[in-house]
Amino acid sequence: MVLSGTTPQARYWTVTLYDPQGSLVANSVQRYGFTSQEIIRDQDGTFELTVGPRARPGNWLPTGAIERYVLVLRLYDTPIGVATRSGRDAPMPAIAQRGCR
Amino acid sequence: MPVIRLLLWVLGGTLLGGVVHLASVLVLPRLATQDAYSRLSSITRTNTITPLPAPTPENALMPFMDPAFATAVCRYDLSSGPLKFSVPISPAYTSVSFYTRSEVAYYAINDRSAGRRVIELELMTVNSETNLPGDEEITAADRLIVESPTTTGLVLVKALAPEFGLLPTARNVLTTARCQQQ
Repeated sequence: MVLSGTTPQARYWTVTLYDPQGSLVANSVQRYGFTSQEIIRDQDGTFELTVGPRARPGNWLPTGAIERYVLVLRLYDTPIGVATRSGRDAPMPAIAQRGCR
Repeated sequence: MPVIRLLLWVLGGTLLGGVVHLASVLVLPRLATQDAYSRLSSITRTNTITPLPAPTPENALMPFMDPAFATAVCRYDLSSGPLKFSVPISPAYTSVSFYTRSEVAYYAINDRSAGRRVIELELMTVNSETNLPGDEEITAADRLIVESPTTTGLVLVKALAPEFGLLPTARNVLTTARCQQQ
């Protein structure tokens, strides 16, 4: 699973991986999520985050052995809200599924 | 006619079942024994700030806790008077959110809205606020007063660590937070 693009405007944001019950996913590198400051971006400010069991170059969130998971993107101090019309005001990152290689 | 009577009975039973179902679903959150307040009651005392342990895969106090934050909670009880609350601003982002006994958020403030280096406010119930003396030298307009709809509830303080190595800094900021009766 690849999360790519930009997020809506916010002072900080975090993306975290959980299992369906809300616990963090154990892994050998002890990485559970990324903050907007930690994530590696391209020159235009977009990022690409890979979520999967095998290590990838760039931003990688390990899912370990689990097959079902929940990704939570939390925006802190953001002007958008529940009533914001999506589109230009709230550009969400795209999610795509990539095959294993 | 017997068919109509049977249908009326069935209809009445269905309506009764619907009402009972609706009522129990609405009441359920109040009866929950594993809600946040109950989970925190076992590790906190009332009217003091308690830092919460960071979530780990094996052990997390509440589901979906954000691992990039240092969190502290003040489980408040306003039955003996208002509470004075203060927390210094952490370098990255600090937020304070207020919840009633049934975990409904009724107020939140972050370091940007505070505008100073310390977030300072008073927490009181509606009754206490109306009893504030009107001729005080420092009027209510000079200080931030938060009204709690319930007598007990939670104040959650979160300090962001923008990078993993900055988590100890965020935790240190929370150790100087204060939540005490005046």
